[in-house]
Amino acid sequence: MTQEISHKPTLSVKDLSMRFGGVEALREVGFDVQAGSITALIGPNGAGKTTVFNLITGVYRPQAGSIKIGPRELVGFAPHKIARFGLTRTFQTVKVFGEMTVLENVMVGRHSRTKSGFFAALFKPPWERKEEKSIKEDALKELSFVGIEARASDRCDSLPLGHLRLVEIARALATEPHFLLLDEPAAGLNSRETEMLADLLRKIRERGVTPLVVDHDMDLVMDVCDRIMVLNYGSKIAEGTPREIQNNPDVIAAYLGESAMERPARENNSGV
Amino acid sequence: MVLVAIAAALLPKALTNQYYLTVFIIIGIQAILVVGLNLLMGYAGQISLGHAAFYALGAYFSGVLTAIHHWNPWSAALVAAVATALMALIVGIPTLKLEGHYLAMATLGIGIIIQKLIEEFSGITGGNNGLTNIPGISLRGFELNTDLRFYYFVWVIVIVLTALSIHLIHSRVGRACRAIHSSRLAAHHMGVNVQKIKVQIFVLSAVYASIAGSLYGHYQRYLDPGSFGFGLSIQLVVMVVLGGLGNVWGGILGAAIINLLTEYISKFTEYGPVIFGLILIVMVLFMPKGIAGLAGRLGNLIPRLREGKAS
Amino acid sequence: MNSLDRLAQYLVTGITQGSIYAMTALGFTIIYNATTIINFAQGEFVMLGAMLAITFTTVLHMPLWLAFPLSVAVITLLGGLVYGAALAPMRSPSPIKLIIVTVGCSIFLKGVAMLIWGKEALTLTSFSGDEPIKMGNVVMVPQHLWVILILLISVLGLNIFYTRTITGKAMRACASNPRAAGLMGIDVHRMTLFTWALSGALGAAAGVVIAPLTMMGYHMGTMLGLKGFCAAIFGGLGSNIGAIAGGVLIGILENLGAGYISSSLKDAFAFVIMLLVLFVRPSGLVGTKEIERV
Repeated sequence: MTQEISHKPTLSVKDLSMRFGGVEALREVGFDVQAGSITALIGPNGAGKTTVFNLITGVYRPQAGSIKIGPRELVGFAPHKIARFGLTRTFQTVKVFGEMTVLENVMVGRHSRTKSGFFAALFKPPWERKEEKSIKEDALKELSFVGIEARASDRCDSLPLGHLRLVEIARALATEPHFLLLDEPAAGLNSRETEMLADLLRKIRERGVTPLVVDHDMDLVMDVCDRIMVLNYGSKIAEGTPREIQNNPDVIAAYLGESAMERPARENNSGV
Repeated sequence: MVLVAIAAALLPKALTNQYYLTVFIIIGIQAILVVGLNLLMGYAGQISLGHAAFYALGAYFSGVLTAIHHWNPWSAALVAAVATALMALIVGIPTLKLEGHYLAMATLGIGIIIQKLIEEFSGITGGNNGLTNIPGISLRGFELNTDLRFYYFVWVIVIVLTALSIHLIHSRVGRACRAIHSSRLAAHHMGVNVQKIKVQIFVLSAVYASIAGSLYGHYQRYLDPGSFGFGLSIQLVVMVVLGGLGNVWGGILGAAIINLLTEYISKFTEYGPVIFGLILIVMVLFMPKGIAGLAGRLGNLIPRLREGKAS
Repeated sequence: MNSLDRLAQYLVTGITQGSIYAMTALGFTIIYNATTIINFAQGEFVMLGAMLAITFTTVLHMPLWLAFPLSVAVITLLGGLVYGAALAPMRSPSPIKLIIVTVGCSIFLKGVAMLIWGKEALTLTSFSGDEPIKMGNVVMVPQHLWVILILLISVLGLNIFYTRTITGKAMRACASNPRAAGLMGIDVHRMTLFTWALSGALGAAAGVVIAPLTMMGYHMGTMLGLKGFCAAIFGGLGSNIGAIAGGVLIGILENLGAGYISSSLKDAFAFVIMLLVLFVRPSGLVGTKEIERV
């Protein structure tokens, strides 16, 4: 099950631009994500990070720009095709399949790598039963990879947030991706859970899947990532190692700019 | 499932009045329809307010081919199913791009249009005068010419088709369906071709409807477009919801309850619609998981009673 | 009658019938705007308004100027009642459940009408006589003009109500953003109740004014309601102007279709139009496109 990636593609984003009506959400954003790294995309709220994810995974089509995985252009393909090319994601607001069990959720992740169709489903020939068995086994392996195999037959709507995030990750891993985009995976987790997440991200990298993370938890990001990209107001303002980013004046201005504006308001209220 | 099979097998012995056999034949036929519709509505989460149309198509294709062109009922039913599947495919591809209310209204429109077309092409279908002289079915010379024989025939088909549905639910495609219902976006990103699966389930439920329609035609020996309208489509939806959306047995249960209810109420034909309407309202407000859901909850209650816990 | 006259005749009938669809669609749209509920009982409001007016005038011998507002008033109350009894109590609404409940209401009201008035079709005397009016070779009756007049009055009245009165503005606020409206102190439930009542009023008015031109029976509401939906979708679900435009246009197109293509398929035309709209441009003539946010 451990996928041997015979080639290690790079995810290249070039000159990505996106408008929603009259609002320009992204302007000529470009970056590369090397296989085998852990990369983060950070920036203040509204900078466009989730939009980048949405474009990469095919939810929207950019006005301009290109997104490639290896030599293959992804722009114009629907999300399910992009999943088959090896790019998948988790969501900011966890989107597990609530009425299904944990195991069934992850089994859906195997959809793009399996093939029993309609007639097989209805009449259950032997090869379909064999495939079902392997889907179940693969799903269980993913569950133990992320550490929640004990919860395999629980319904998802009975689980706490931390576990749900793990289910989402296991499900995404089941699609055998090259790249796994995680949208705020640490949101709502306590510090112990966040540490476990960091370990999990490293484990994922070791296995050959490349995580790309959007998050606001700076401790996590600085700790675990090799490379960080910073967005502000739809443009990339910096790129580099965690140390470089921490000392980058543009980045500091982008974040401090917000808190600098907050200070006068606080002074006003304290007098009242 | 074995229980249902046994129950169905024993039922005719229990019935005092032959007339009720007719009712249960109709229940069986409609159960096929409803189980198929439940796959679409309960599992895949797509609304259809026009399914009577596929029932009609199955019935009329079978009816016309056998009554007028003297085809063998088995080949006619097969052709009917294929033709209905094709119709469902053509209609389904644009329609299933819609969601929620828009999907509901589109299916409603399709249902009515197909009914009107059947009325209009009276040259072929007999229009409002009805299509008569539809022959009965025989299995290699064994004629299904009594209610009892037809009853068993229908219910065998019900059991088989229900078993197939259960297979489907616990398969790769079935999981994809349920995933789409739960979170279309997540399913899409996990590699599920959402549009394709929605259309496939739609077509499958149409084929179930077509089979039911063919059976109906050969049983009644007579068809009339008026019985395939919006009213029936709504009744089917009610059966699905009453039985329990997303519960395979709910389909059979729903068909049974509504038909028995209508039979009973028709003693008070005056008050029929009034009571029916009230039941719908009350049921949705107070029993959203349908009867099957209620039975499920009752089932949970029994172990607790055994342990002596207060409920 | 030459072809131009024929066309004009179809237009006249079309606009008249279209006005009824328009009023039905309008009643249906204001409810949709306030609650995103598709009211399958809308047609029944129209039918009941007509039936009540007929009873008031023929059985109770009330004069029209009394029967009309009285019928409208009763159905106004009914509209509110339907909301209060069947919809407000719903705990976790979903499109299917809402559809079934309003369908249940529709069946219930139809059943009640059948009990009260039986299965015959009844008719109302025309408001100002049946003397045909001739414009060239096109024939109209005064009732045709009444229909259009009532539509215009309704639209105008609604406009003034929504823009000039506090209640009306409050209702618009609720329709636009119920949460914010609630925070501003507006009783959202009450506003929704008023919306349903208003919708009943529109339906009833339409019913009374069309009754002299068609025979009204307990079953007439269904098709009318369904075509009202087609009109609302054609115009753009959620747009009042769209509902009116859609209604009138469907009336016209339906009559043209019946005249030039096939009269037995007449009922199907409205649905064909609706399907075309849904497939090609679901937002309709006027409506806004919905964007799904991830």
